[in-house]
Amino acid sequence: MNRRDDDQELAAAFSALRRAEREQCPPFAEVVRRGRARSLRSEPSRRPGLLWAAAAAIVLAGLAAWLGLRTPGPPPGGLPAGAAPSLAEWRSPTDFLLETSGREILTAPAGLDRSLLDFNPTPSSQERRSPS
Amino acid sequence: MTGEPVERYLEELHLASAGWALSCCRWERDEAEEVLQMTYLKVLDGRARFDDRSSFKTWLFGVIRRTAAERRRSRWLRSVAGLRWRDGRPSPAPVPTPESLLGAAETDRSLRAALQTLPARQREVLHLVFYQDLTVEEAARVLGISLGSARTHYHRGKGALHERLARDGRP
Repeated sequence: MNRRDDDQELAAAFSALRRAEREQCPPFAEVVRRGRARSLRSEPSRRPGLLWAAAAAIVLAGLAAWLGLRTPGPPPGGLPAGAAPSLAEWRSPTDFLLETSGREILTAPAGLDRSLLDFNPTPSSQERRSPS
Repeated sequence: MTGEPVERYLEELHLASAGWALSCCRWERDEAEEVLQMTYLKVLDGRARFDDRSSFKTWLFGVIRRTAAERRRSRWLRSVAGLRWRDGRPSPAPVPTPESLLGAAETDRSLRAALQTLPARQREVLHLVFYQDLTVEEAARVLGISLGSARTHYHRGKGALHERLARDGRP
């Protein structure tokens, strides 16, 4: 038996299968009708899912509200609720991180009549220069 | 392409589509009919649109194949999550019904049984070529694979099918 015969026998077997399956196939209109009916039936089954989602949302909202009430207010010595500190008074809690060594040298005004090497911030330079 | 022409095309291809759906669902009749229903509704409601990039038959077969894969995945997920009760009915049995077995001729049964033992791609290519009379190139388009790959599946599948059928005393 050669390859062509093999293919023909396979084709014949598939053809017989096709005939048998087509005899049992429901008509097109019937399949569409059943499909429409099935999709209508499955619509209400989505409702429990929506109900569960709504219930979960309500529970989450309640939980968030409860947690919001439990959040501690400002410390006793702090500002009264609603009063915002002025910008001039406010200091950042991490302000100290900006402090660097030798910062005074950079912040003191430059003087043309003195050397940087003479700079000593603790007794003011004015005091040091004045004869005692 | 919308409305009546689509419905007419679907009707013309109905028998071929039913055969392809059966093959995609490993001859589980209930499952295949549900896949066919879902596919038709997808096409008729415009959720799947034909884009003229291939023949309508090739495109439709692709939609059927994807729908069958989606159904398989969702069935698997439901079985894993234990959510079968949500459908309100048990999932279809994974074996052919006794009626369908009694109705089918001995030759058909042995061919189906032999096809079931083949890897999915080989089975699909053979079905599309021998059952649906598509070319290997068209089969490649339906399956979304290269022509070379489809040819390999076709030749290997044919060899394996001959071997299985010969072992069972068939061609």
